[in-house]
Amino acid sequence: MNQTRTKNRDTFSVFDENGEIQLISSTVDHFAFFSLPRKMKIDEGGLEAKYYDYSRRLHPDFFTNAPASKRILSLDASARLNSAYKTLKDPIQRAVYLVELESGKLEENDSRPPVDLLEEIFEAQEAAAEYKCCEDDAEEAKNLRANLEAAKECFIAQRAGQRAALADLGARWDKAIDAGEDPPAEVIDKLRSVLGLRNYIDNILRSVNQALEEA
Amino acid sequence: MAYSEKVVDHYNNPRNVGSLDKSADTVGTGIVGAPECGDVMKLQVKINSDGVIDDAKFKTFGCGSAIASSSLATEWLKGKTLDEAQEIKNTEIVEELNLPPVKIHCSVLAEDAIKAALNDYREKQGIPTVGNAKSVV
Repeated sequence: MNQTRTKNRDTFSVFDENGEIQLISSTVDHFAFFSLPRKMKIDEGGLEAKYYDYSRRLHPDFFTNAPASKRILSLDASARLNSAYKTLKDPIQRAVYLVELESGKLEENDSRPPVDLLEEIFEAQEAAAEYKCCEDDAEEAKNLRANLEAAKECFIAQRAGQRAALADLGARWDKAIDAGEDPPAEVIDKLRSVLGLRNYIDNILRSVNQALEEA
Repeated sequence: MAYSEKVVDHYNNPRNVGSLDKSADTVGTGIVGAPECGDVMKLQVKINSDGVIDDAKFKTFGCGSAIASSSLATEWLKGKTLDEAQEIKNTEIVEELNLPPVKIHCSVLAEDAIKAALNDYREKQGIPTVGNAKSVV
């Protein structure tokens, strides 16, 4: 699954030597688009500055009177600019993108989430659903609310744990890249399993918060 | 995105929603989740002395397609033997419900849940479990 990685990738530039917009092939990944190393930690300020700079130079409004071929290049490049920036500016989305670039889609993970976690999520979902429709019974509502508050704390703590694990694994990833090596397989595996859980936690927290707010 | 009529029907009138006694020897429980969206699905089967599924229940916290897939699965499970139930494929669910490509993972989830529930029952009965945990589309 490593075929997308080449050690000495050709440097890509959105503009050629004459300042004309280049055609962006699909082999150019988001990191290459911004001339960034494939690392977890990036210069976010630099990314933002480059985004605004490119936005100004690529914007289709500047090409309304240009030949069709140039208009199309500007449209394509602007669309790519936006999706690349959106993905890379967020540390979690960036980590998901980078790990998938390196080792394939997270949905193809062989490992399943721990059954305990699924059960915990399931119970919290049930509590959230019950809480929404138990308005008539003040006592029960009080109990359910306490359960939900506790579940919320628990999932927030889990999310914090996952973020800490990501920071640690990300640092190990970057260390390998800085040393000119491939990220260790163990780091990739762990990142895949931690990132594979993020939607579960986000989803259950959304449900729990919604239930707590609505009632 | 428009849901098919069958999905809407299962969503509005889900069949067999509920729970069976998880600790009973005759009940197999499967809890599975979809990493793409964080949906969770619980599917349970109750097997009678002839080795036939005489009851099936589900509870799904997820999108309409996930609810419809698991609702349909419980309908299909009733009256089947373990071996017959093992043969239910996510592609049959896709076909029956007209699921679009972006919702195929919902049917995979239902198939996973069936297999997990059957294996849970097998484990309780000391029968060898079947297949590995991960199913393919």
